[in-house]
Amino acid sequence: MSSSKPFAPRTTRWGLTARILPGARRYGIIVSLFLLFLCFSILRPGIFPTIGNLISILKQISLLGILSAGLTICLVVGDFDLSVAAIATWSGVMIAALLPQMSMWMAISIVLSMGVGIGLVNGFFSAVVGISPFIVTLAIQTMLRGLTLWYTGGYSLYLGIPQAFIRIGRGTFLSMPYLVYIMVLVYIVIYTATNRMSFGKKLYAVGGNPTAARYSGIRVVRIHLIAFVISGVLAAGTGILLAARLSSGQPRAGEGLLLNAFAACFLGATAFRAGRFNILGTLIGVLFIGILNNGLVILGVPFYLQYVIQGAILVLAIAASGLARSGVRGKVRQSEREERQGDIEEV
Amino acid sequence: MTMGRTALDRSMKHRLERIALGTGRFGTVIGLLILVVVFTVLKPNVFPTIRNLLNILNQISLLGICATGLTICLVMKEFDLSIGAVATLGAVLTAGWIPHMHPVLAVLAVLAVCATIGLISGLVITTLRVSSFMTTLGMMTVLTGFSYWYTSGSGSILYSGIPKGFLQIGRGAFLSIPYLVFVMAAVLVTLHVLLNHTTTGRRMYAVGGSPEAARFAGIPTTRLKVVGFMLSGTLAGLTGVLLVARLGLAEPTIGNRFLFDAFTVAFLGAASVYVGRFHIVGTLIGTLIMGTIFNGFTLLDVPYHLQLVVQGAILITAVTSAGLWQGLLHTVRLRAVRQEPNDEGEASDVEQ
Repeated sequence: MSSSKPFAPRTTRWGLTARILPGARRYGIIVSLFLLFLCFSILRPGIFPTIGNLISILKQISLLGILSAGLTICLVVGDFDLSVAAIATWSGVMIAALLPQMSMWMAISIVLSMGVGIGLVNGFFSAVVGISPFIVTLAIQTMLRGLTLWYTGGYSLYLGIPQAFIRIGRGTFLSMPYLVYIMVLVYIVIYTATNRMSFGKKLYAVGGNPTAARYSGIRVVRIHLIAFVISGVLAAGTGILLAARLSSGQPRAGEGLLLNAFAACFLGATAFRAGRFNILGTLIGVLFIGILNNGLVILGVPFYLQYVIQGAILVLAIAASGLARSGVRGKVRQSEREERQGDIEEV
Repeated sequence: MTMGRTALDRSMKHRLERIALGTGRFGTVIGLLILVVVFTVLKPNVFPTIRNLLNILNQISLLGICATGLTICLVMKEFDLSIGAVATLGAVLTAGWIPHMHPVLAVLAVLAVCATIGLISGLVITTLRVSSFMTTLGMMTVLTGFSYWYTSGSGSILYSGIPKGFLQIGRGAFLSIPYLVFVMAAVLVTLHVLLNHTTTGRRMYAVGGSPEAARFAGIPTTRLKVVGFMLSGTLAGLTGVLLVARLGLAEPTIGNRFLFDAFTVAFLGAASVYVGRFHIVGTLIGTLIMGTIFNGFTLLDVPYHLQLVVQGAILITAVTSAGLWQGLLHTVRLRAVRQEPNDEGEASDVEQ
């Protein structure tokens, strides 16, 4: 009976919900971003939704954004990189130590190549030797933290940093900080690489199923290495810009970035591509964290409550998207089962 | 002649391989012994004394307790990143509550709070299906904020009104062995028995091996995971309580170090004796290695921050060598399987 009209619309109870909910889930984080924005705008209409404040939000998130972009690449191929914040801190201290001794571009390229080196070490131990990336990057971050604190003795390095370098972190073009332009550039490059090039397909293939990726001719080890190198370079770049913004190399400057970067990536994984890390989602996650922090500061919420709210929102957002996913799957499966049951009865 | 020589070479190679295979799994133990010998040679009057040994055991006791709880979670392939924050919260609450109520009651209340935190994490992870990494990361952020909030009224350090009797737990000794060492031993033995000699423990390993298979075998995976997170939370809380007993104060970053140290120790443990598997004996070995390094380096006046570098290097070395050992084991087994028909072939040639 049912075979006579195979393409008839499903009229089961959950058919419509199952079709709407995935969309709600995919754009849920964007909707909540707007709600958050609206909420702060209503609470502080004179301060929050102004051009000046929006620019300052963008400036505040630019460093986190660059760091999270690199981390996203690692997470796409399924590697945890716990060392990104330690690389950023180390690079900030190194650039402050190198700048008085050589030209600016020389110092920057040395520090960036250190980032490449650390990324290669991470990649070598996890992809070539085969240790879990979690352990490797945990060990590397412990070592870098120790080296940073040992090298600086716990003090900031601020002598002999040229004005031209500080201007990178503080200057503006058309009243928009340079940092924001750099972040936008990084996102355009990474977006093109992951969504418009075969490289991106390879990344997702390795992350989805390494064995299948190997059988289809992708050099899995090389992809892992490249992912760690990208993550390392962007972390080093973040450290350089951090030093430019603070006009000093501080041995604890990057510590808070690690958790926020992971939070941004995981928040982003709930948007656009179903349950997968993606660069646009990460940008939304970074914006979310930036607006949340900025709004809470403007509302005068004490810093310890900011921690509590951040943690709670992080878990709630991810739980909500996960719940929607499992809910939809369950409902779809149930409606299919009901239909099949109906078919059998008809036969 | 040449035949004999290659056979000899092969037998030598086999013997070397057999030695490597036999000792490889004890790599971390051997590393620990080498460390002990080196420190003994460098500091013969200070390092190898009973007093220093007890000192090391006393220093590692809290890390041992904390890492044991983490091991339970790791056995089931779940991360608990909140242990450092839970330890901090336990310490802060202990120092805050103990002046106002009976010490036993205060400690029990703190442990109950920490168990509840573990329960919440476990429920979120199992019922809402959020990854344990993100849940415990969020939990860690929330708890850090809570600890700062709780201590903000008193200049962020709580130290007044802690009774002498309570401090005695952290500083006293029985038969010249510190109480804290007894506590650690009790925790280690209990959880070792739980993991290795009970049905619950075997089921926990089953959940870690394959959650799907475990569920089909009728194992209550959800309940076991929740119990694991509760155990981890409670033991992290106990670490915080004992921190206050030892230091006589609490501040909102006091337990943070335990997070990375406990992970290092647990992964060192997974690289020893039963390679690739988290277990309590391994965690104890890892804790002893960490304690020995920090004690020895402090005796040698190595700056603290360089000790962090060594900690990272040792973790990578241990895990890499364990991985290489496993690879060797694999190739040897593979060769044994392949060679069997070959040997028969040769034998038949001789007969002909």
